[in-house]
Amino acid sequence: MWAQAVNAVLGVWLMFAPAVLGHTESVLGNVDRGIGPSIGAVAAVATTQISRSVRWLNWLFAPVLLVAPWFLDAPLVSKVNSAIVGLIVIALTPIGHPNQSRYGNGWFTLLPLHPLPGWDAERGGKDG
Amino acid sequence: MSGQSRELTPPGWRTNPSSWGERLPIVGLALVGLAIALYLTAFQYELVDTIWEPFFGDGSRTVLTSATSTILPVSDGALGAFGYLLDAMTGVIGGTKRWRTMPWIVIVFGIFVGPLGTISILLVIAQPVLYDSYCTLCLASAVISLAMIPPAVDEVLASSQEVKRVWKAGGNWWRFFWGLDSSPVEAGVDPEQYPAAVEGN
Repeated sequence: MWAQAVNAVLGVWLMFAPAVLGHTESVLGNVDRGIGPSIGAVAAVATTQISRSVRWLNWLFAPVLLVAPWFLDAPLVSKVNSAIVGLIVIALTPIGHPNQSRYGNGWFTLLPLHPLPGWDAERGGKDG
Repeated sequence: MSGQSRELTPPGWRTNPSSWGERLPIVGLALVGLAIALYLTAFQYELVDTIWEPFFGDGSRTVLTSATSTILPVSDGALGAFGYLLDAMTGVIGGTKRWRTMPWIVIVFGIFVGPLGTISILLVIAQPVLYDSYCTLCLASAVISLAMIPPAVDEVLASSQEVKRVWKAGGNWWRFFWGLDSSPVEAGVDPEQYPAAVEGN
């Protein structure tokens, strides 16, 4: 939960980093403002247990932040910012394996060969 | 919900994802989104002259009158309003058993909620990259779209599991999906395999 929340904040930060760090005119500014909301949206949806799995999409988005600074012209601080944010997002993405036991054991039960709770399974519970 | 939980809660679930306590907040968010989208649409069709923009100066005006916003026959604001309306409608249709009595509406609901959130994010990405501006209410709309996704998809999971159970038990899952057979037993599942039916459900 906290790891995805941090990633969501970092994504929002990237939306405004070009204006703050002064690289709105650089292509890197467009990278930040494109990848930022993508990472932020994925991480925000992934804060909940039921939709945690979408977090892996950030392993597609974040590496762009690591690679782009090496090829694009921008102030050093902007490049370092993009790369560090990319590294942190990649590192935090796997943290927080979802517990979907309260949701009928979750999405994997829909896959072929995966067992799903039968009609005789437990229902409700203390906080149900 | 203790007395009714046996009937209303999906097998292996703690709570009923189709309860009004879970659905009404989503419908509420959709109605707030609808109100915002209608306001943005009113500006785009010049029914109101100014747009509320506390943070980004001319940002909202630039974004809402941009080439992207009129790429389709209707403005993107109008499209968003229509999307929120569909979200609210498919959110209220059906009772608290709908995860198993009308799986199709739950799936349609999920389909409306998911892509609307995705489109919102794509529009947020387009704003600064193409026009170097942000639009406060457009960002708010995107946040609302995203907030609707997690509470909506749990119901999709419950319905999908029930359809798979009917299929695994040899029932007519296609008729069950469309709510044509209101229970697994009606869809051809052996009552022995469906203890809820034995209990008079």
